[in-house]
Amino acid sequence: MTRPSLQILALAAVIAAALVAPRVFAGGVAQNLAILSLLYAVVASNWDLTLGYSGIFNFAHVAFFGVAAYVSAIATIKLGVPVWWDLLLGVAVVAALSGLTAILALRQRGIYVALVTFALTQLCVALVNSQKDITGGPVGLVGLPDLAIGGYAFGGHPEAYFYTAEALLILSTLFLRWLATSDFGLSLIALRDFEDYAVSRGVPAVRQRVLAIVASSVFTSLAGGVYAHYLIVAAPDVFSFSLTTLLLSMVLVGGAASIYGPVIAAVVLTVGSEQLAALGVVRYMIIAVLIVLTLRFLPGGVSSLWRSGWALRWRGGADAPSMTYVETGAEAEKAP
Amino acid sequence: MGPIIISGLVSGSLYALVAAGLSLVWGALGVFNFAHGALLMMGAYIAWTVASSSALGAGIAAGVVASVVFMAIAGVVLYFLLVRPWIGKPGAELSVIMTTIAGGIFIENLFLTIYGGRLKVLDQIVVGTIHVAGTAIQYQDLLAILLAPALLGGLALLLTHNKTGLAVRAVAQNPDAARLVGISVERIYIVTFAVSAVLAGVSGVMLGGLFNLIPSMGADPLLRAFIVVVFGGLGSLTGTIVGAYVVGMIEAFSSFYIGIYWTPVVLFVVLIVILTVRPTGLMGQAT
Amino acid sequence: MRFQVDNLVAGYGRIEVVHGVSIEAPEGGRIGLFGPNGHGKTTLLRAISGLIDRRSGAIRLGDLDLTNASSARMVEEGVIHVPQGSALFPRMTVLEALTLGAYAGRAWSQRRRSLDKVLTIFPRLAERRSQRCSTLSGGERQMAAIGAGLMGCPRLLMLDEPTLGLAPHIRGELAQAIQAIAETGVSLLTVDQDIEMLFVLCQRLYLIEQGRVTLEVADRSEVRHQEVLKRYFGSAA
Repeated sequence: MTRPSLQILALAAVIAAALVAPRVFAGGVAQNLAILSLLYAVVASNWDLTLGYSGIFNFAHVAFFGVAAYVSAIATIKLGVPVWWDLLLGVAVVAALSGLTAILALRQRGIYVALVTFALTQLCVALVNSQKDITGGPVGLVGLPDLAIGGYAFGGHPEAYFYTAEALLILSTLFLRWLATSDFGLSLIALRDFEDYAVSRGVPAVRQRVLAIVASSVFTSLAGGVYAHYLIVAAPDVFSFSLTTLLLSMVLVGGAASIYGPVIAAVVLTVGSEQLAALGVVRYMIIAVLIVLTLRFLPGGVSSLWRSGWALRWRGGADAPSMTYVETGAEAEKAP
Repeated sequence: MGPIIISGLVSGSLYALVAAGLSLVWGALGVFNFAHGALLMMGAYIAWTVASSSALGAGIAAGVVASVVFMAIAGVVLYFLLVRPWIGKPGAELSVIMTTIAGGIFIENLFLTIYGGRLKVLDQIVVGTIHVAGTAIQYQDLLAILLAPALLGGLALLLTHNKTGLAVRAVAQNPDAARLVGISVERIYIVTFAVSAVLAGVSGVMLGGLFNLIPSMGADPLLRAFIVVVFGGLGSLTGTIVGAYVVGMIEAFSSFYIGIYWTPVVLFVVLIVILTVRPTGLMGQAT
Repeated sequence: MRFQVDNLVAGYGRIEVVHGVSIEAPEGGRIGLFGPNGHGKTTLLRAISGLIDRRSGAIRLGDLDLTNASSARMVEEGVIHVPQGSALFPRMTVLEALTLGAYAGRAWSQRRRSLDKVLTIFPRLAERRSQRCSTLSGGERQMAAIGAGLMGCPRLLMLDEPTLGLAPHIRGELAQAIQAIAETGVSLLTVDQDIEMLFVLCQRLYLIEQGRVTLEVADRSEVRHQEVLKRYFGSAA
């Protein structure tokens, strides 16, 4: 079969599975897990765009998710914005936030990118905690109206949220795949691995990176909005270290710069984390150990196991090593 | 005004102690240890375990000694598990951020499992209150204000007059040149981590005496230390100390005038502004 | 002590740069390495001093087998590498940097005497002793780097391009100082592009091209340097 028809077949299979899945995961707990894991999958795979493909240590990504949740909450509860429009508002606000993030982050080098984006996330947390009147402070905002189409409110029919989350994930994945395989995606990888060379060949470094950061925020913010409607609450724990770690582990374990990796890891880890819930906080310890083991023994994540064919050219992983830069004639002083 | 300044000085001193360890590790190894807050907590809990009458009951002095010894070892273990395998490889900084975040979570939840989540009380090292110019200061507060400069002054002396201290600075400034004068860089990494962990533990003990013990007690100090270290400039001990007192003061005044909830906002905004204007912090060096 | 490198292979990652180089310096000898840039001379020195791994081959100092010696051990045994264009320790004073040069056990106990010697050979450093390394001029930094190397009580001193990028009169000063060092009995291995300087200073020379020794001048008195230049540069010279 030719490649395009293989892809269409794959897409059809995915859509078929998506139609069937809510019937399969119909019970309360299973359904809840499924919806959460789908939403986390969106966030994690979009984080892969900046962390994995672009090599940008963007620790403000979880803020994109959290801020969108709050925008939805504030818009619908305090400002009476109609549902669905609040999601769009969330995308707009977060797009602005991601633009700001990009400006701040790209002024920095190396570890400072991670630090300044981390600071930005903490700033969001601090703002949320301080504006009790608007955000409900440490308790959060409760009472988001359900998403609804026509008169059909999702609240009574959680499958509707299931379908929404699935649709979001499918669209997000298609979007990310399109970006990753386009010239834009290739330019990001080029900038990540061979920056000087790419720039000398005319790749506009700053512009591409800003676009990458903003692009990664689109579906993330949608997921944040849906999340808030689904849970009916927007609370500061959406910015928590635990969630950040969980999401990060999805990107790492799944495999940075792979899109599908984080998606699969998201499902596995969300479900796994829930199965371990009986162990109480020990499960966080297990996730922590998992992260370290992955970083140590499988830095390219699980997806690197089936990508070894490309291993030489396309060494996936946020810490994908830069190639040894040895030009004929130059002293090998630049080697790692 | 008096209580605010005292509060600022106490905070500044504690932050200086906490941040100094972070700064040392950044300087010598070029990595940021996100488990540092957990180490602080560890130091406090170990001291409690040895000192408290609800546990081993050996008294606070024994508790402090035990804590220092334990923390030195813990620091070395942490280095071997969470740092060493990634040093020298590309992307080490990012990897170590992630491994130490994971490490911090592991440690915090481990202690939560062992000790439970209820607040514990750690004896103060010195008890009592004195009144200076109409303001009441706890002796423990005074200790904090005096201890930090003393310890950090001692550290600074070690870094300039002691052979190993010089070696630490050498490794921070030029690891290859350090190797070429015969310094075992690995050994210096180990020493630095041990000292860093001990500093964290000591601040934990001080903090524990002033407030109570809870497994998550390291989280806020870590954030503050983060601000201090980045603000003052990674790798510069002087910058860190200055930054600590500046942050302590800002926090004290801001808490009083605008309220505790606004203070972190102020701090992070200031930090982000500083980073934008001077990307390497007040006195930092880019690596 | 005689210093011998046998068939040393070294490189970076997957790339091999030094393809089996053998050189030898007799006791108190002075050897020079020259050749085009990027052909492995610095890599060779870094492999010897232990900054990078040695993949195969052997290194011997007198009777000692230093093939697997760490960088610390090499310094301990007196094989001291003064790297090219060293930034030293930018925020330390000259005095601190020199003191650090004597870090190894053997040299530490002698450090005061060594310091006197170094400041005699490089009087300029005495003037600058309390200044930070980053404030030194290029030539002074080279002097400090070589001085720090001397502080380690070397048996073999390896200098990587000591005169690189320096103005002619500083070069001359340095060359003289290096000569003075050689006369104290320290074996010398010098890498430089200034072939004429090497000819004056060294008894044995090696031309390194593509990571291999392509020409060995066992005794420079037998060869005129113009011939070497011709071999190296072709007919123009």
